[in-house]
Amino acid sequence: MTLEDVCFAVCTALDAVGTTAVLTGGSAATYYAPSVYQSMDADFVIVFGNSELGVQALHRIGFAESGGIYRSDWSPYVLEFPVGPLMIGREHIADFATVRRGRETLHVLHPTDCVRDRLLWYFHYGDFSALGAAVGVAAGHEVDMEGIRDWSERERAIAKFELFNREIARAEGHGSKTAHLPLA
Amino acid sequence: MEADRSLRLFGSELRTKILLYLAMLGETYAGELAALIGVSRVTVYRALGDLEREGYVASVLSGRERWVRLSPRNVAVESLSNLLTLLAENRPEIMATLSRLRRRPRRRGKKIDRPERT
Repeated sequence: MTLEDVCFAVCTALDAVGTTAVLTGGSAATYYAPSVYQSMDADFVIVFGNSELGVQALHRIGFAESGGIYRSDWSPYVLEFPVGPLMIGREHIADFATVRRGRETLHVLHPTDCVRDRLLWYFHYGDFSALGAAVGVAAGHEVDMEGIRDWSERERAIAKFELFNREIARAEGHGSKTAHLPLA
Repeated sequence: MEADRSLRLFGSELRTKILLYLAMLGETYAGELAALIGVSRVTVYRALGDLEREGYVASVLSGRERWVRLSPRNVAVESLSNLLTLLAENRPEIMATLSRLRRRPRRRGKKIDRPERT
């Protein structure tokens, strides 16, 4: 049972009752780069739907809430539903990816937004584990590096962006998607 | 051997490591540096005191913690920071240690995220 399996199951159950939940945070990074970064919880932001029906759907698949965290007997991963809207810093995110796996559905941040979401923690908190996750996602997926660079400039973090960029090059140069950062 | 010499660039391995982490983190405190380097807080405090007297480091008290950074009053701070960043990026053990550093807030009761070890 991987985090991806749990996320597909949850998102599909919510979709079935008309609730759109988008995977975000470190769990989105785990979805894109599972060999680099492993989150132990899934953060979903509800962008549309009826929360009561959503809670019932979660109960039906075995999740119960305690202290704002949903747990189940069958999942090693817990669920959290941070208050929306879907945002990266102060920027609203209107568009997200919808992935199909058989009959299952997963809504998740686009890789570029996932990278920006992780980089924010590195830029403003000096969180290198988040940088490692961003490098892992960017090294393995097509992301808009020019857009990320411009955004980094607006965040006044261009020097940190340059380090991020060098770490991607290292990851790719080493024939690994991890460079030194996520190999800790 | 070359790599080992670079760790003595600022007088000792401890002083150099402190400066490397400062360049990478921007701002930090003795407890965090001690955990990253694997020495006691007292040892770090002592080295930080010397580095501050020599003009490499500046500190400011915030709450009960003394935060340190490369001294903005050092005329060579930008070049120093660039040099230290370059050195740090090329020391895998420094980058690996940093990669385990989580600074973003964690909600009480949440499980701990962990980078996958492969």
